[in-house]
Amino acid sequence: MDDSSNLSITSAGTATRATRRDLQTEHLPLFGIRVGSISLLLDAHDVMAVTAMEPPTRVPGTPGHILGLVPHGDGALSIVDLAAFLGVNEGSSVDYGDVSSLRVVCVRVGELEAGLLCHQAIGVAQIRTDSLQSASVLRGGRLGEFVAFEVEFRGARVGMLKLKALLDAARSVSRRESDR
Amino acid sequence: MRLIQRREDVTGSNFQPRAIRNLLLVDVGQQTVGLPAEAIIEFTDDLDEEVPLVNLAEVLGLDPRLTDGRKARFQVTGGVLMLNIGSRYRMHDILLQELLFPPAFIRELMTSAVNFVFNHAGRIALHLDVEHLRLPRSTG
Repeated sequence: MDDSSNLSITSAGTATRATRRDLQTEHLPLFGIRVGSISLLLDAHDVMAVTAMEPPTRVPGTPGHILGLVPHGDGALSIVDLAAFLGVNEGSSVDYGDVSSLRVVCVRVGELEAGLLCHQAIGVAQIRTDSLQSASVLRGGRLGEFVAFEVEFRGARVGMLKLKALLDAARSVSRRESDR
Repeated sequence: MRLIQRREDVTGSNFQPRAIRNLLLVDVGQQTVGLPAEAIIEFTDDLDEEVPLVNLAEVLGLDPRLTDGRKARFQVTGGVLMLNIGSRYRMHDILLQELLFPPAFIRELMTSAVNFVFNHAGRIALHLDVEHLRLPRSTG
């Protein structure tokens, strides 16, 4: 069928053309990261930047998955060790003797900013919404708590993270441990 | 709240308009820590069994050997605290423009442990509350 059949008129009176495929399936821009052997996806809108890892400044009283602070823009960014927090990859992903291959994915949800330490920042992919499946496979560690959807991506089962829930939980753990 | 949220919060007799004067800066490995110099009683190499001893590197979760050696006695509320600071320390002024906004992510946590965050030689440094450092040992 000719795409012109999907021609529509906006309220401003201008014509826009949409293909039949666009109308049938929406795409989500998701940002892929790898933590150990597990690939995860984030809403690409929440990702501000990707940087190399540098030695963080430790903050007393914080749990092991809060690695510390690094300079970021005009302020300081908290670094979260995803592998340690999620309990995957058998603990911390950090070997302080060699951090050059690690990446920090800087994310923001509301007023919360954090740097998620991972082994690889894969980049942005457009994922079809009709390919998302309910979380059922990725269950290791705390993944079950923070994976919203799963999708087959580049031949592997990949989980989309509930980023706000993850950041809130990482902070809650921080507060509980600081009270001890 | 002790944590400085804005540069305008830097007020009081110990603070000057353009700088925070006479901080004790201690290098702990690759990290630098600020401590309140006005609370220092003396530097010493001797132990005092009647005074609680806290290792600064241990407070930060780092190798305690990083601050083995020299100690500083601090006046704290109700007594004295002895802090292992090692040999790499100096007095320093911090310019107000070096102060940084604390990250919201761990802001609540930092209020009890950290007075303020600042930029020092391209890295993040923390000014610690010596009253807080005493608590883990004194409360068991």
